[in-house]
Amino acid sequence: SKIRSPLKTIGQDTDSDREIEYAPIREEPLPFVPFGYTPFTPEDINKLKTFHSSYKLDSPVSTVEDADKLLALETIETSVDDEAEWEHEVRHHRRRPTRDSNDDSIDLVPLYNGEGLDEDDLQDLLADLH
Amino acid sequence: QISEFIKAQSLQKPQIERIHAVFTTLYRELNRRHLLRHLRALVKEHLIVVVKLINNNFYDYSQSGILCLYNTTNLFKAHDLKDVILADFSESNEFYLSTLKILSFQVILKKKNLKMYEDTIIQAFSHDERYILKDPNIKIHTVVKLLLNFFSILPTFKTLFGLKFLQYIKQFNLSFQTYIKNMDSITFEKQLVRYGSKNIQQLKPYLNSYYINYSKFNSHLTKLMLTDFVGRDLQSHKKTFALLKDHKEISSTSTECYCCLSHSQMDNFVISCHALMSNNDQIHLHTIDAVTFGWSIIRSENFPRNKKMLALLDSTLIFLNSQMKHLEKMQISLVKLIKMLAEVCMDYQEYKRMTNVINVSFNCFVFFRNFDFLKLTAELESKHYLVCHDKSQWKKLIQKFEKFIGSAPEQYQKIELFSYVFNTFLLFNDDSLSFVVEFTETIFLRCFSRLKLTYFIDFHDVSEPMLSILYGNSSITNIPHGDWNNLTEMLFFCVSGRFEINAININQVTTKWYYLYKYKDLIKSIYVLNLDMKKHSSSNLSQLTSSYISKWVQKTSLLNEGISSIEVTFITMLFQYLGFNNFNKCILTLSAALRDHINYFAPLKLEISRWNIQSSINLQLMEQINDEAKLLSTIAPTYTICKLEKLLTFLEAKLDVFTWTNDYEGFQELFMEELPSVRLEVFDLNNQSKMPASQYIKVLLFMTKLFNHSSRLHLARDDITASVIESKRALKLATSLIKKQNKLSQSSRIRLINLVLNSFTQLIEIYIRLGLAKEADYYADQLSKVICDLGEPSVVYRGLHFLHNYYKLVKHEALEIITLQKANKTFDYLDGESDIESVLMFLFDNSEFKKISESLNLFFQDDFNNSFLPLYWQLKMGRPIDDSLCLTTLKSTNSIKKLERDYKHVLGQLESDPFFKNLFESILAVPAVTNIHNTQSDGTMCLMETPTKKKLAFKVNDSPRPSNMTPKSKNLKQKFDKAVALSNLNRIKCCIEDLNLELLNHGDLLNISSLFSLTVTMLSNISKNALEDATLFQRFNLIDLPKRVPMYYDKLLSSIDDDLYTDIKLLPFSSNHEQTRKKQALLSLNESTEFCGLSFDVITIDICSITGNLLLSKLSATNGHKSHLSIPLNRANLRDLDAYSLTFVEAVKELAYIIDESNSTTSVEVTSSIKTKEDRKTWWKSRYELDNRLSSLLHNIETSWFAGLKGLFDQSVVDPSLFEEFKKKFYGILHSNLPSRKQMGKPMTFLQINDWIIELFLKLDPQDDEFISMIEDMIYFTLDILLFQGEENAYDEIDLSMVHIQLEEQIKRYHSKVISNSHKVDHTFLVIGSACHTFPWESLSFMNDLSLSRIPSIKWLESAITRHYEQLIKGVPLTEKISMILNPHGDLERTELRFRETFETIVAKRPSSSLIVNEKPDEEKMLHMMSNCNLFIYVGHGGGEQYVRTREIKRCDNVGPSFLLGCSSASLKYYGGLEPTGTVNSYLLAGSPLVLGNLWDVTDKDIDKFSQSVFEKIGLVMGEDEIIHKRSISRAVNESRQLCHLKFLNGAAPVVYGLPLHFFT
Repeated sequence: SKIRSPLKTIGQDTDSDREIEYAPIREEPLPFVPFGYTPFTPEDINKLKTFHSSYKLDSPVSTVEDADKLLALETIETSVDDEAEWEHEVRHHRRRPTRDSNDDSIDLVPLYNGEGLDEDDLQDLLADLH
Repeated sequence: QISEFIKAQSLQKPQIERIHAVFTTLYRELNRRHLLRHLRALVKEHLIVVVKLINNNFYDYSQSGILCLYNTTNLFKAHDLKDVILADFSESNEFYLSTLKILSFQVILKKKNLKMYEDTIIQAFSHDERYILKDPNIKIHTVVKLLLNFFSILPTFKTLFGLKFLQYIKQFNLSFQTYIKNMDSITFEKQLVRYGSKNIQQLKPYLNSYYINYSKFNSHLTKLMLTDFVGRDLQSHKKTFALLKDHKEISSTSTECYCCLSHSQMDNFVISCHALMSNNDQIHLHTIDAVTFGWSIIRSENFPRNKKMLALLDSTLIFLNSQMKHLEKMQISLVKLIKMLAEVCMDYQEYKRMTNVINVSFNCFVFFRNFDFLKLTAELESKHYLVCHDKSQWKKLIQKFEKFIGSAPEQYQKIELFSYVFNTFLLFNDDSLSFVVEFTETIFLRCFSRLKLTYFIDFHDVSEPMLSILYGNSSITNIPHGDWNNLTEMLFFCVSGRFEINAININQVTTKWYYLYKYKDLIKSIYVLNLDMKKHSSSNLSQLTSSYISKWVQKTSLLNEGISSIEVTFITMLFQYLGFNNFNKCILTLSAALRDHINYFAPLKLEISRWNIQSSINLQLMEQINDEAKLLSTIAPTYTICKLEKLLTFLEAKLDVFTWTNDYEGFQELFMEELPSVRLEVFDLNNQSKMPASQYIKVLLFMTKLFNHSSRLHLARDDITASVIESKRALKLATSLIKKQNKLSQSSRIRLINLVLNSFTQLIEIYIRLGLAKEADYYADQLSKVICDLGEPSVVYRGLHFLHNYYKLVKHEALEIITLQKANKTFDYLDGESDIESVLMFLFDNSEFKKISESLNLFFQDDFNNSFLPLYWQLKMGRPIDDSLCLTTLKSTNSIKKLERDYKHVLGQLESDPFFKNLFESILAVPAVTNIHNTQSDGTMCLMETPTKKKLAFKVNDSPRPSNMTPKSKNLKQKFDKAVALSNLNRIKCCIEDLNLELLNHGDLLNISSLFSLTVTMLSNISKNALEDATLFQRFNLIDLPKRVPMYYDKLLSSIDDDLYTDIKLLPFSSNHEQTRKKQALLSLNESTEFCGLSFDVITIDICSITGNLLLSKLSATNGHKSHLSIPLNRANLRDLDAYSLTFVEAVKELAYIIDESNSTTSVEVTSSIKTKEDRKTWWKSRYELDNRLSSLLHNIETSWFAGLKGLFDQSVVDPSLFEEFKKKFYGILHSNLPSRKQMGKPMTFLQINDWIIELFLKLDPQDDEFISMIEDMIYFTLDILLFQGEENAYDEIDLSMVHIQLEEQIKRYHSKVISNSHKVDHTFLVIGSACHTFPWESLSFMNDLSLSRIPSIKWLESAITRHYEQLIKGVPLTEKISMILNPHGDLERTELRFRETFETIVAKRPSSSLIVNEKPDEEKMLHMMSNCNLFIYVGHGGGEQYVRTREIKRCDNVGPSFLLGCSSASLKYYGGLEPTGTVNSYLLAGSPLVLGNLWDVTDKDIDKFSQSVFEKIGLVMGEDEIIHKRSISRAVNESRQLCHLKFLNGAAPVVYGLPLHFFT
């Protein structure tokens, strides 16, 4: 570089027997870490990198403490419109005129002979299947 | 194929079989694809086919068709037609079951095997309400026809069918004649009686039920009576009840004695049933059978329900439940009883009691561990749910099954139970996506995970979408999603997050016949978003958003169903990912679109508002922010009851608003008063309230943001300590959250990444604002570690942009370039169209400023004027903006930019003037001239009359003798309007003086300090009137501010650490009077600097960041005189091209080179390889060369930089009278030599140079080798002053050598007269600019014999003098308390040898002294040794930073005077725009009055010699010859340098920091 020649030189050739001087090895200072700060580890950064779907539900928290606990019976109030007693509909005679018991059986007309429904009935059945 | 089949005239077997197969596959496929609605259509087609089969007499095939149809649409399968006829109407079959039952009756009739179904038919009609009439649209006409067929074909039961017929005639008011033509109803009734009496025994079991239903609709008097059939023998049954009581043996035959009971008999029967269960002690084997029998009777009698019967039901259940432990042996009967009770409940639609039956069944399992009970329980629970049609109970159903599955011992059992609850039949009536998703997710959470499956099972009757959501959430891997439809596969990938590499082609046409087809655009959007997020890319993001809006959002009004949780999650994720990538405009478009369809998107109202606010703030759309803020408060949730997630979303929006409006009162009221009392879990950092993991993370994320914003609000109030605490807490929360969670969902992950980035940048920005480099650099390094392989382009880019500007600020060129290169590469991954912020950063970093406003225009279009962003960037590019539009936080920056603009304007004016153009290429002084005009009180200038010339105002004297070079009559009006320039300069000066310094950050302080200094320098050189003293003092204050403010905060912040993280609570916004008072005191210097009688000067040395000139300012404590010099380094070269010139950069490089070379020559690799004499010789040769190079560098600095101005540092005081003499001569010389003054007027009538400049002439030493160049330098300096004041001379016309000789003569005369040891200034404090700290100024030759020491700032001096006043006057006692550390590392044997004995004697002789030799001190010990001691001596490597952390030193308060005699102990690390850091600063901050250290590495022998000499000179130890006159430390150091063999390489290294203390023994 553009340095002007020094004015005076110091040090002579005869210094060969002068003891060489020693600069100690540089030691690294204690690392500066702000108080209470925990640096990021590679695992931390990896967690920040890895994609996990947000749809995944948490591991389920079991609400059922212990499966074998008995189930209690619910007490159910009978609703107000339930009858207290059996409904008393009239089922006995009040001296109704006795029937002449000798009527013989009359077959029905039309004769429902066990064929059940005809095609129209079946067609009608399907008509407005909602 | 089906329609062909239906149309086909004739049917063949293979054709039928094929169609049967078609139906089976179609059912499976539709179920598989969850096309439940299409199942209905298929069922209708199938019924038509069944009818066709019947009509074509293929009864077997029609039967199998009926069963196939039933079994594919019902959970509980039918084995034969009986099961169909007695099937209950439920969700999945109610639309067709009545028809199917009718067809079943028809098939039974046609197949003539009525006998087989007799019982089933009778039972069906007996409970017709449950089995037949449940369907309101039943074809009653066909039923009646069938009934009459049964009437004819099953003669024994004619009466029953007849009664039923009569019932229906009345119930459905049919006409009797349409069905029976040949008789009237009376005759018909008689017939029934007749048949009845004939077959009474077979009829009895059902007669009561049929009769009750008949008489319900036939209440006329002539109606049939029960007694018509059974006659009178009803009463005789009493005794038979006893049988029941003794429950001897109950056989089926005994049932008929309990049939056709009268009401009272039923009463007794019920009572006896009660009795059965009352004597608990002897529960016989048959008790349960008896009870079952009892209930079968009640069921077949079919009396209408009443309280008694219900009470019996309840007591039966209570009986079973309480006596269960005795029923061990009756488990089979128990199963039967439970089934019976279930049937009773179904008959009477007692669904609540049905739950009790189920509970009893479960309890049986718990008692007896018999899986049959559990299976029965599950069956009944599903049947109960299906039948009772109450969809709101589905959550309870699943919860129940969670318990059942949980208690099943074996896995195969669990799987079996699971299939009862996880099937399409439960979803039949609501196939909306939201229900399917919510149902399946709850199933996953509650039941599936209990199966503990590790492999894929394909449950039957489950659709693919259900499987994809279920298995998507599980961690099971071998999922055959490949063979699913691509929309389901997409759904699976999104839910599971596991994307296959061969990604699905989303444009592939999907079949319409698929459940998700209706939601295809939604599913595709979800898929593309998740795929983009998985690939950490945003390339499809904006196109995805617009297609989601157009294809889906705008069509949601057509969907008549609610939004699904999958879509809610998707929108939240979309907003988040758009925000994450700064797609702010996309966010605004999306939220507008959602708001247009708000009723479908109602659950997201808060979310939309939150993102709208954030994006409006990011785009700084002023009005929109206010509107949104108002809207926000209208939709505020009620804090006490709303869900935590909703509350947190709302609070995040409020946070953004508070910070934007800087409303800390609102913040305090909401977050510190209102919320804590109402919703504590929002602040529950340690999860004491046991929140589930997902909620707990949201709280932590919110708290991190809360502390970040609290920090910003504190910062805006200039409460630095609170701001740093809250910001550090935010960062702590973010890092602890990462460590707590082993897996982060995408939503938490990207939020956390942003929070980490913001926490780092905010904390670094605070430290930059304070000018503190240590923490800023540490966190910048941490930030770069986090983002360098984070893989998220948008965040990485913003991080790199931040770091690039940071490294530019701290002038770390290598990293500045690397960060820009990386940033530009990352920028390619960003979507420039949507992410305007990154584009602007990119353009700014690459200085493409023109494009910035272009892209802003393009981006905002008509919104351009609503946003502050364009103005923000205009300001950032240095162009001031209209103050009324400027945000308050940027007001001070704006005013500084205005000042810089005005200053450039003045420079522009100067540019037009030939002389002033290169004003800064001359030496400029403040003050330059003495004020010959005295200004009047009102500040106007009054013109002094001179004897010869009337007016001597701005007019410049015309030189009498025209010379070819001196312009004859100079027109006054120079090229530039001087008055305007002066008024501009004055305005800049006043503006700076009015600035509120409190709000300025470190960079601003540096800026206005150099701006003020330049302005004052120009004013002093252009204007005639001198500056007031206050202005000069303000100049010193502003120079000192950027140095002392960082130190003040460095100390203040070092003490905040103790309770930083213990109890993390928001800091209140109290006004801390103590802190504000200290800040006020900090901002000003006190005027008087005369202290304890010690006369001293303060000289600041710095390099001007704008002109590059050397800046020297001197504040002399003796007379308070303030002066300033701006010295161009290459001035000599400008005058004479071959004169030597050394730029500052070259000097810095040369010094750095010398130090590096010296370090390498003394490195252990080199020194250890020196064995021979020859080696030693070459080694020494290289050392001498380096020593010479350093000496030449210093020499060149001295001659080319300082030259004539060395005198500024001279400590001798000029003799006043002799000075006056010299001054007269001085002006005489000027008068005789300058053309502008020759033979005209008297010398004193001309412009007067300020005395302190003239004194500099007297400080020159004629014997000095460089005297010629020095005197020449001073002459030109003087001529320049006159020139700029308007007194122009053509320099080459002046006989400079004459002036030189005449001046030299006067200087010599002065020196001869003045007494040698005239009064001297005691000491000079040097305040050195951060860029030039490493230079060994003290070793410049003219400083050798001065008493010098460096100080960090003038303010430090003020407080140090006051604090150590006594030590300064009396000196420091060396009689006791000397702490010494010698060779702690153990490798400095020779040094140890030299000092061990001396130090040991000191410890022996002087009380409470201590010494550590050849042993590493622990931090505690070293801190103790350096505190409260009179002198701390450290002889080892560096400054001891390897044993004690500088952070810990700063927290001390009374560290003693310290000698740190290791390598580079006084070196400071240069940080460009921030203050340098180093061990020395920590000792000074810790209260040490004085620190001696080395600027670079030194060798042991030389520095030991130096140390020994210093010890002797200060009187610590006795040298060979007694030192009478003890030196102050600064003199001792100066004198001891010479003892070093290498005077410069080692000798120049030691420097003194602090006060020039004396010591005494």
